[in-house]
Amino acid sequence: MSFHTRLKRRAQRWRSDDAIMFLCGGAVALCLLALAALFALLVDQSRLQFWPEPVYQWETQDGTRITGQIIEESPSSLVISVGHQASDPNSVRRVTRSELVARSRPIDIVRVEHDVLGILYGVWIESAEPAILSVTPEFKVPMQGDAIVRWYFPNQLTIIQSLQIFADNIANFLFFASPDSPSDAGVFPALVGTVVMVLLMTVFVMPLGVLAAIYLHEYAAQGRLTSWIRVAVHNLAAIPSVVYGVFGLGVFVYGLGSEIDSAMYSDSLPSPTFGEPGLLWASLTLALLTLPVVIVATEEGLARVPRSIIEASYALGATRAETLFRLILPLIGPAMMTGLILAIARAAGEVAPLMLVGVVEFAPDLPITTDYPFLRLDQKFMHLGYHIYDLGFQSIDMEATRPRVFATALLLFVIVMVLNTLAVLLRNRLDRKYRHLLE
Amino acid sequence: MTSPIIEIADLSLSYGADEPVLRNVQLTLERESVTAIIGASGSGKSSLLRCINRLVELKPQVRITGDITLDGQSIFAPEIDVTELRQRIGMVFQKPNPFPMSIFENVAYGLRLVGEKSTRVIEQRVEQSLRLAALWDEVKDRLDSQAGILSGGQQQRLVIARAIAVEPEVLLLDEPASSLDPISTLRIEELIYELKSRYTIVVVTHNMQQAARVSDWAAFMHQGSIVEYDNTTALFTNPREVRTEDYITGKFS
Ligand SMILES: Nc1ncnc2c1ncn2[C@@H]1O[C@H](COP(=O)(O)OP(=O)(O)O)[C@@H](O)[C@H]1O
Ligand SMILES: [Mg+2]
Repeated sequence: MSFHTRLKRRAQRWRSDDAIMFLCGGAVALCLLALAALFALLVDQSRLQFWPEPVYQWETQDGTRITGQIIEESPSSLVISVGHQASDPNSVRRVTRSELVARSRPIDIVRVEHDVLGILYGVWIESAEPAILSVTPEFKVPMQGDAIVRWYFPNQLTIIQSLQIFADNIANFLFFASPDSPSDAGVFPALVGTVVMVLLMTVFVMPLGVLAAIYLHEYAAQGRLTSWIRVAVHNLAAIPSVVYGVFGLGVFVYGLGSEIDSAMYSDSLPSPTFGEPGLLWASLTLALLTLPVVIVATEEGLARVPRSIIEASYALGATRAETLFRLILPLIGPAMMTGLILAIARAAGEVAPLMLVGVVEFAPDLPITTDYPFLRLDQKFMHLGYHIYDLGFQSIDMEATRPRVFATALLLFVIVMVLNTLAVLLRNRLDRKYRHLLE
Repeated sequence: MTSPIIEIADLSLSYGADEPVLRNVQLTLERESVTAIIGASGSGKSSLLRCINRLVELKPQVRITGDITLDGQSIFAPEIDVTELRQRIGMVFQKPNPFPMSIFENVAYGLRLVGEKSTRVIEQRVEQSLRLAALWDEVKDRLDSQAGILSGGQQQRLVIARAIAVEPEVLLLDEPASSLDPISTLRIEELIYELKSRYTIVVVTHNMQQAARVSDWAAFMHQGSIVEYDNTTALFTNPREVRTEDYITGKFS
């Protein structure tokens, strides 16, 4: 081979080396980008739920006026939230841009949140009691002071006022009590429901999963049966979650639940106590669902513990249990945390099985109480994931609840992120402690 | 020969269905003496040591025939508690294997296992063991540091301290210096010399000079059998078997 061709080949090799590197780096960049895009979308779409956006007035070609806030913009059309209208019960208008002639931002526009009518945009034509709001020249609404929840001039807000409204909106989004209208009510019960359910699930799944993993790795003879069991555990992770829901309904709710009822709550029969979907059964079902994740992660941790130190423990006269509790369990802390992270992430986002075993669209009572045992195990509860589904697809006025849907999704996203970050930090701390041994 | 502490009689061992790894081993270990076991890799030295504290039973499907007695009693007898046996027979492995804990906790591990609760007693025994292992002066100011920060030689002495903290009668050292640098090796050898007055020591080594320096008795193993067992001077200066001579003069292996 001549010197020249050798040089050429060498250059080619390094070029393809670079190409592979860029390919891999590109994949990472794409993943990060997708995550950022998701977050940006959620934030952008839920902005209307929280931030006092300006109110515009459009003139249309046929001479009418549309007043409202933009929900969605595209090059060809607009979706506008127009509030309560006399002629048009639909509070959202979809218009093509070609219909619109001009847009203005009138300074005297008021946004009123009314007890009964909902949101109204208009101008005050009479500000003394009873005030009169003119929504359109034909539609004037007299208003009693106590029917007005809140009103402001959206186009005159200073930044301080905007921030105040923003804070108010966040508080309302979380805590607003609205016993008869679930789609306005604060999501706090759903938030608490999600967190309590996930934590309760953790209490069930961690001991079970860790013990099962320890049995498989430390006690079971490493024969064919054990490897089959291991394969079966891996397969459990692939079963669609709604199947777990059906299982939970059949076994926990109808089976176990009615047994408990006839044994302990026979006074209140035929109305069921544990014989219907509830918090306990939902947590147990999700515990089953996330069990394989915990087992697999724990087993991987066990496999990383060096045999040499386990032998050292036995050589000092430790029994198996002593070795397990004094040496192995502290060492696999990080692995167990990994299992926990994955389990929590999966459980917090699960919706389908929960619909069968305990979640309801509206349960303003929190699943926790101040009395022993502090949990309402038999009660149905709200869950953010299901709440999103319910708001987004079951409500009458889908366009109007859209910012709420996205805001709820954002909240769920943030919760899962926070839980995960906490667990990852904890795991890293544990990992640092033991790293020198496990390499 | 004075009073034997361990007698190995006709001991054979196989892992599963494979060829036996130990064949009819006969060996008598003297109290408070150092016995060196030499032999090529794979000749079964580690396996023999692991039989003496029954650590070999952790491996699945081992088959052991023959007998080992400690102070005249069979270690395989049903009334023997294997954890007590292992407390009487300490072991140090080829690669330093401290626990991922503090230096203090490493040494205290065995004490806590036997149920020692008194902090004062534990502290006392930890210090005593570390002194005996010639490590105290190097670690006395950082007993709470992770054992992993110590050098290899220090780790090996820590592991020795850990083994002697429970006051065993016998110490099994499986190539204790083979992963260490010459200086650390020398210190381990000095340590073996020091410990001889208190413990019966069995040391496996690849290093002929080391065996000659530290031991009173020496056994040469070949393919699972003890070829020759004699006092160290005799074995190294005047071996009876040709195979022993070949091995110690380096003609073979
Ligand atoms: N766990 C085991 N399973 C099967 N064979 C083993 C096992 N441990 C050691 N052996 C075999 O036993 C023989 C002796 O090994 P070992 O006792 O470690 O010898 P040495 O310590 O003298 O090098 C070797 O042939 C080795 O392959
Ligand atoms: Mg060996």
